[in-house]
Amino acid sequence: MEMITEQKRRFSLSLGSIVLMLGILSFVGVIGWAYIEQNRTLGENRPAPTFTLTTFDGEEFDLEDYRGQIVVLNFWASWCAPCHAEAPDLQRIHERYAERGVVLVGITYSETSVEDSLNFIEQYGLTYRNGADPRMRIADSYRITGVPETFVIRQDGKIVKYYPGSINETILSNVLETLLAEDNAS
Amino acid sequence: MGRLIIILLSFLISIVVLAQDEPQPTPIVVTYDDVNAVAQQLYCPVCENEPLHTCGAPACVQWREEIREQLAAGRTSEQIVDYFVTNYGDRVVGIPQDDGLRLLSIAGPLVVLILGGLLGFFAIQRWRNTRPMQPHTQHPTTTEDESYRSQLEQDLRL
Amino acid sequence: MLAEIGVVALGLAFIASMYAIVAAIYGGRTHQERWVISARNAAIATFPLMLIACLVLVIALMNGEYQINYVRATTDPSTPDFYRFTALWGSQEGSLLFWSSIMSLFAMLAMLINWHNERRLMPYVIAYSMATLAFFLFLSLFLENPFERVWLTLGEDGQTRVVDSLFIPPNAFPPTLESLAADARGLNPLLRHFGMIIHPPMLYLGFVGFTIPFAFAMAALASGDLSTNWIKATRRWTLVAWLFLSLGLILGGRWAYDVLGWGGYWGWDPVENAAFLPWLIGTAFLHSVMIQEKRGMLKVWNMFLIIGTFSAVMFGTFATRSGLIESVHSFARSEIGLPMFIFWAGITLVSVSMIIWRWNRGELQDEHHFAGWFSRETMFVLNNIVFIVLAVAIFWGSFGAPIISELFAGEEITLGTDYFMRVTPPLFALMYILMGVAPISAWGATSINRMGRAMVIPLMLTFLTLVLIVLLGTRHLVALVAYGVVSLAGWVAVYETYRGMMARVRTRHENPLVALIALFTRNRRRYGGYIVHLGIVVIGIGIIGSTLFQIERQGLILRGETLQINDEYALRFDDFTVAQANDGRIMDIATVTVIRNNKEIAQLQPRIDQFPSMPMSIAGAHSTLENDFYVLLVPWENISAESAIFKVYINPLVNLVWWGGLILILGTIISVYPNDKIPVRVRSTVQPQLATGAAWGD
Repeated sequence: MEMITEQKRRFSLSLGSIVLMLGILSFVGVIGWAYIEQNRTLGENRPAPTFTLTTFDGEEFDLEDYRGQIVVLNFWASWCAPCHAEAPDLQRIHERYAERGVVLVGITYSETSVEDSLNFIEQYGLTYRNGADPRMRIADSYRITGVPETFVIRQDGKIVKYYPGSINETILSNVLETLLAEDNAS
Repeated sequence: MGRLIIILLSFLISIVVLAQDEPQPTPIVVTYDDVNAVAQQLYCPVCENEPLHTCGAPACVQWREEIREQLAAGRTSEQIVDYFVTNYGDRVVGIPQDDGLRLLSIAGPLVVLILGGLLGFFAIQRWRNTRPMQPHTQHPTTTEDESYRSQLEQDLRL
Repeated sequence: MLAEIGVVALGLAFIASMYAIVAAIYGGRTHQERWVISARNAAIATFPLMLIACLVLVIALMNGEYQINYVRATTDPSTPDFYRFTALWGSQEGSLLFWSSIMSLFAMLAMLINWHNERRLMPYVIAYSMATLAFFLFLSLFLENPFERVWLTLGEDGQTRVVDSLFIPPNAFPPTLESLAADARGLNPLLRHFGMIIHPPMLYLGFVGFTIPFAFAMAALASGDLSTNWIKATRRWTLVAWLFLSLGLILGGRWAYDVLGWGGYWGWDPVENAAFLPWLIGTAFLHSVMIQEKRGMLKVWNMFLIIGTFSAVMFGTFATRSGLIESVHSFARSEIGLPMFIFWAGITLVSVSMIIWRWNRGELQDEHHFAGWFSRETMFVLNNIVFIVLAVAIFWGSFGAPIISELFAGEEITLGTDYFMRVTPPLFALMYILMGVAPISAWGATSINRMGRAMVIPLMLTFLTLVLIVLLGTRHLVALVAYGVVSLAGWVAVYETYRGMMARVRTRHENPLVALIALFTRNRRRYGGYIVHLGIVVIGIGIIGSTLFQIERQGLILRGETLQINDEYALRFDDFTVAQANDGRIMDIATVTVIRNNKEIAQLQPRIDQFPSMPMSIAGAHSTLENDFYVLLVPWENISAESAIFKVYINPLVNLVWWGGLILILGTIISVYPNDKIPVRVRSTVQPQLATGAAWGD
């Protein structure tokens, strides 16, 4: 890059300088942009990225269709110990809140075989929707850095809570109660 | 004698037929080295930039097990790598398999090399052709030390 | 009390550095000497202050003052004293403090050494070096303070709350010693290795060292003294920084080789590459400044190179500490990312603008022109192109392509060894070729004939070397080409030294040893440089051998059984024991015997250390100049007294990488060592030669 302007110096000095400056500015800009992107966790109060998921039962799940309902999104994997720990809690949450319109969805992360996932589901008797994430596209759009991670999406499609790491029934039910109460109030 | 031959023949044939009826599935022995040879081409999905064959994360152990199973099922190394790329994207290989991304990766430095080479060439060419910016007096930076060297040089030429 | 002293010292150093910037610029602009001297004194004062801050932290670490969060995070009651001391740079906050201390030390030395010769540059050198220091002190003071302590306060509701604070908050009391000690986490087990203990300080010395030449270059631009003064003043600074950076990289490789347990020393990981980038640009700078010194050329280019080196240092620091890239080595994400980015971007943009400003005023004109294609100038320009293309290609692989792909294609990609081993070897080969050709070219112009004649003997020696390698059993074509290219560079360095020595023997009738010593004392820079080349050649041979001919085997061995590795080697699993180390970790130790051609050659004890956070596999290695036989217990597989899974690497010639490193250090020290004055007698005899102008300097 420096050589370019070295070359152009003879013809038009200022043009070379401008090109050089612009080049460096855009270089720095791209790095800065990448840095911001990289560190942007999907913080609370941001719209949840939409996705479609084919569940292990073969059902198509589209997040768009559940606008107006509370969706709890849980990323997990059978090789992850904390995921095993929180699975029974999630199942209980599903049993308690399904009829009140809360939708629980599990998405597997970096799992090699469907069999492992199915074993996990069977082991904990999970009855909520679970599905795999080909090419990790959903995990990418939610900027997952590890499992488990849980997102609570409000009726208007915004993420209200984000839990990097494991979660338990108490925390989750508190959040859901408040959200449901807010909804009733409005 | 003829009957014996016939009996023997039919016996042999029956063995062959039986053998064909029950094809012996030759079990493919998969060694750690075979698994590692494939794993070497892949990267850990969880800990970025860690090659799969040296990674101890639980996810990696599971991936290597998958490789072992697929190798045992008779799939080739390329097929297995393709399988992982299809499922987890281009991040799992050292150079993306997607044509566009591959081009992006490889072409970048190539363009820079060619550009650098060309510019270097022209720069030197131009410097060669331009007149010196100031009258060429004697070497302003020549020190005693260098002259000393040049004297040695002259001696060497003898 | 202790922590307060540290905070106050840190704060005073920050104030002193800010004052120095203002006073130096004011004094420099208005030509008021007393302001500049005052600025210098303030700059020098930062060092004792930083020394106090470091000392306080070391005392806190040694005494286990666990109320200080940093002490609790990096040591625990079972940590041995040695690691207590080195915990000073074991984590983010401490390493930033350590970095600033080195920076202030270097700044002080620059003030003391270069003060009298470079008066015109000095105000701006103070301003730039203190600006860098002030930035790091700002991080230490406000974002990553190593002296922060934990307190308990009693709230109105009667509940105790945990508060992190530098000074004692109202109504607060320290937690009990027992609870603090129980909370202590200890040093990351991966960092308990001598390579890791000295590798970060070396890297920091290298990184920080480049600040001084950078500050001088900027001072030249700011003051308008654009002669070669800044280059002459900083030649040794650059070499010292380069030496430490090289050492840091080599030690980092050694650490990875011993501790990370994957049988290699360089993984093309973004963090390693981030430290390699300033080395590449800095090496280009080291060579290219010689053109400016000898011929007054490439002034703009040299400015760009030193700015590029410093910018790469800052970029690497930012990238590895901010979470821009994720890697095993990177520090945890923290708040310092954004300020680091702003500083890096700001310093890069300001520096480049200053070059453009001077350049547009026509103040950076070259004094000479290129005389011929086969001149040393050309070789150095080519050398520069190779180094810069290497730097760009490595940057592209680690940062550029993944970033662009993610931002514009929405796809995360990894560029790993596959990419780097495809792109870099041809460039490294070019580098070695130039390393072979450049030393026999002359400044100004050389005829091809003359160069050809000088090449004959090194080429013959290279050919003989290759014949020897083939006779030893290597038929690999790529390897032979690579060995050839690398050894040619080595033979040229050796032969050039020999020629110089023989010339002395012939003209001055000295005995060869005396002549050799005299040669080195007369022209340390040139011959020290050849030794550095030789070191790089030895490293190159080690890399070729251990990369192309590495053998990797993994297998299960029952106790008492033997695993055949290849035709020559086998491994027998003899015994298995479990032991406990003095710091409480459990160690699974296997005893194995290495068998070569049915003869037992060594007994090794690879082991797995069960740290609470992770198991760590420590290799057993039988190390000879020929190869390393490197055995690991595979930590993620089942291990028992009856059977275990081992991983074996045979790394040919890998030790040459470390030996080459030692040669490189030796060469650099020779180059940096101050020159003696040339005896008057010699000066008078060579005086008439001055006019002939056949300059053969370094």
